[in-house]
Amino acid sequence: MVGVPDSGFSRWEMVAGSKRIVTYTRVRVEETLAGTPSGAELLVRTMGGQVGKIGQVVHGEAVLRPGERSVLFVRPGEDGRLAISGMAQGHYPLRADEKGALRLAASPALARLVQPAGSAVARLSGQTLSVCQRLISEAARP
Amino acid sequence: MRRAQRVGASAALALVCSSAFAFGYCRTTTCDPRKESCGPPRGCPTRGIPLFWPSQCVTFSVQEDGSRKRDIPYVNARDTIVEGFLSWRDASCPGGGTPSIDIRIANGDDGVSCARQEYNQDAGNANIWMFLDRRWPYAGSDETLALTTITFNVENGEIYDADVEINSFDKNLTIGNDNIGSDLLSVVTHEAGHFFGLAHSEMSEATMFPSYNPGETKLRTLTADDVSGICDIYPPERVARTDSCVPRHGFSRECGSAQDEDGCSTSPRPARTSGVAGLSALSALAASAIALRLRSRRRRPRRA
Repeated sequence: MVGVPDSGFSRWEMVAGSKRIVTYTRVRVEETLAGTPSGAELLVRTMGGQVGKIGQVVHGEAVLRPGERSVLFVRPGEDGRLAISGMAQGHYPLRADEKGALRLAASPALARLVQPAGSAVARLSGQTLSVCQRLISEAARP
Repeated sequence: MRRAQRVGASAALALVCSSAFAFGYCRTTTCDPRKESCGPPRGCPTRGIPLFWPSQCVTFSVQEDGSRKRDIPYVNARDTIVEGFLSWRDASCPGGGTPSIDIRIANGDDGVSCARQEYNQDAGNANIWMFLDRRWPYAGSDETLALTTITFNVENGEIYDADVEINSFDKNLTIGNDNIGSDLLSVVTHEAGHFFGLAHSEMSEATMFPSYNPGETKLRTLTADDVSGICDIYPPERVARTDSCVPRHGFSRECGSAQDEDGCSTSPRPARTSGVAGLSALSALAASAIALRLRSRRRRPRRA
């Protein structure tokens, strides 16, 4: 989907058996590129954040910045909470190029990953939104 | 401000070396980009307090099982992780000396039973390196090799805890120089950089650059950029705030919940002594090669 992160909140929570600080971010859905959206606004959980005087950073997790329009791949985690699929690998901020065309950028928090030529990050980064839409449609086609 | 310091450092080095050199390393800071702008969309954060271990040394531990799935026993896992740490600890800083941070391993002979990322606010901790053999629980991230979680004080940047989860479920992790798959030493050297407080580098050749291709081993060796990063966090002349090497709230080889089950309440309590014993025992292990390697530090010009 194409979405715009809005406000959020952080708290301690159990994730995959570990007690972590997580951040819930409201994401306003502008456009669904594939899949079935559950509403015009989604609540997406990412690991890391700050609660009181304690902060946690998870290198490689997506960091959703308020107001930063992005292509996001979301899916439910083991406990049903929506998460960014592949963490930072599923987060592509949209940036205007010199001609004003919106292009997908790799997430600034992109993790260490094996990056073969056919990976989503390699194929989507730098593409325009329209090319991204086509690639996703092709990939989603049964 | 940090950028300005690095530019200054870069300029100084250029004067010495008579050649321009640009740094790309970044430090993790207390700034939370979910709440505020931490700097330009790409590049290092320019706001927040850079993270650091306040002590002169830091203790880590390794999950007692190693990775059975990848046929990496505890001892081999431990030795590989130590080797990754030593690359950073023994780096030669541009101005002379080595980084003012040392490392210790807790329960070095046996490892720890806890194989969970966690920071216990009311119980012992262990700064654990663990192998996730049975599943990699993070949705859609099976291409991720490892995750490092850093817990810190948002007011002063002091690191409280660091845990590293290694994706042995999905990844063909290997040790040694034959039939290399995903090279464990490369992975742990990168993650050790996070452990010490570094974020990803913008320099494509750096160990802290966030990319790895199977079969490669170049990340085992730090570049000048990586060395500048670790020496920025822990300058040789740094005076550490404490001499203690013990994890925050004491060391425990058990997870927090198991510590509670031992009959302790969830209220703050004194540090368990098993970790201290473990460290003392390690110091006494003259026959242990790993202990010797950890203790055989080069003389520094000044010790914090």
